Amino acid sequence: MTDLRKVLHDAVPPTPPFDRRLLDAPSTGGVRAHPRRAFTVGLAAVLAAMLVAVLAVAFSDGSTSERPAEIPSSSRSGPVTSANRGPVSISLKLPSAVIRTGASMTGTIHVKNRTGHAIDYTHCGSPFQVALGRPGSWPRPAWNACRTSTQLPQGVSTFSVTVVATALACSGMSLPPPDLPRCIGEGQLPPLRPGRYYARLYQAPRLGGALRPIPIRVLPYASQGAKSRDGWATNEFLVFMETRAFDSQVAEVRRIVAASPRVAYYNFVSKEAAFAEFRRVEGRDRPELVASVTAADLPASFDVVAQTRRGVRTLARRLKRVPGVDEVQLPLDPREYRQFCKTLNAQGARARSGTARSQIAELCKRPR
Amino acid sequence: MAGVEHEDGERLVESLYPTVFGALVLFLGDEALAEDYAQETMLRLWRERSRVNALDHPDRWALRVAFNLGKSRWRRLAVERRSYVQGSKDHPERDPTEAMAVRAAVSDLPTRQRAAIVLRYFNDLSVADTAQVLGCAEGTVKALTSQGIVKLRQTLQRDFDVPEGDAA
Repeated sequence: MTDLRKVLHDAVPPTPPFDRRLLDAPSTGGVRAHPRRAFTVGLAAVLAAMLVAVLAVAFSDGSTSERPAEIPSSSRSGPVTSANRGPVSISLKLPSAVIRTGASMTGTIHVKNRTGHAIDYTHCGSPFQVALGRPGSWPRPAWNACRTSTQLPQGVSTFSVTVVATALACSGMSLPPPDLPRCIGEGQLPPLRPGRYYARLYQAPRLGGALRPIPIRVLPYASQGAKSRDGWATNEFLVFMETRAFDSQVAEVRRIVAASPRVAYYNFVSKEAAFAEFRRVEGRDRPELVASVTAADLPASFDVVAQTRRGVRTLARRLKRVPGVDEVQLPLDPREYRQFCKTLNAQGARARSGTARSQIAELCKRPR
Repeated sequence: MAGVEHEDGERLVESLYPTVFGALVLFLGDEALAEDYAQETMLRLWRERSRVNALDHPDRWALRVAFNLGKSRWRRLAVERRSYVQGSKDHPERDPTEAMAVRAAVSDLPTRQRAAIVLRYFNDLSVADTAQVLGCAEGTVKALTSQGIVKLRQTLQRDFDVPEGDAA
């Protein structure tokens, strides 16, 4: 006989260190953008990608094997900076070491020219570009040809850069080329998978050499401000198709979701995309698992974010009735929530402290 | 006052993070996801720290948040998990470590049974507390737990020492 408690505790790996910088991160509520806004951001990012490409062409002297500088293992909380030295030096300052996926932040670049004369700096679009990536998968945007020139006068020049937590390019094809993610929704750039990334400045080695990439933590989506007062309610829900759903049934769900004014954002995960992701995540560690699964075994699904919490319930009810939909998974079952609050309230009524009572009432009051 | 609240919040995060992370590893069967959701839970706890601090059992609040976060992602991974256990049987020459086998067995349990087992035996919650976190009756927790234990026994082919009343 073995103790189940011990068996379970032994099966859990050591707890990874908690990234305390998260607690200081400014909240970026409402990150899930309206489709139109997301598309604008996407367009900007595509242009940024082109810029990155041209910068790399302009300064790599024909070689495309630009290597990032050494990666620091830790970073400070609050604003983060990276700088180099030389007659022309650059420093990059970002407002935070964490960012919500799909969001953007604006950083500052100071260029200090100590050469004694102005320098002609060739680039495309805005003079500098910072992109998020990680070792082994730095963004490699498509090349484009456009060159403009900026004079860097003596002394300090300041530029602003926008860092976006989305892919820089995507493919609309059903079988995208390797290393290129599939576009989401109506041709939008997919948000980055939450995790640890590095903000890397794509710029001329001749301007003082490569900068050390800055560690950046990409967080999962934020739930929608006021609606998350109870701590767990979000506007997100998942629609799982049956594994054998017809294309026409998937198309019907897509039509409803895309046309609904209640939807703030949606992402379709096809069987192939689910399988590709599954292979990517599990391929290295569990090859036998990957070998036993095909794309046909995985359900296609829609990840939907509604504008309001009420919108979630209305939309979920409607989608549940569409043929081919296996399950609509809500983040929180209202019945369970009521039961939980009932128990909490019962405790609150027994609590001696008035503060405890009022705080339980606050915790369990209906989301606005 | 704000300083005290800040310190209390930090203490709460420090003490609850390992508990929540461990429970999520067992519930989701994926360390990276568990880390992400444990951090998200701590972020929510941090934002609500003054309220949560005043609760008698902040750990139950955190577990409830964590399980709700994890649940929405579960369904997508369910097929993978079923295949994984099946895959392990298809490749008997591969000898997964003890920890992996236990986690695969727990992952193979239906969602509510898994949640009940994790809360009862990993988080050491009583039947009443587990019922409160899961939002169901105590009888349901007992049923879920005993069904879960039967399945774990079958999958892992060993007997477990559990309190009287939990075993089927």
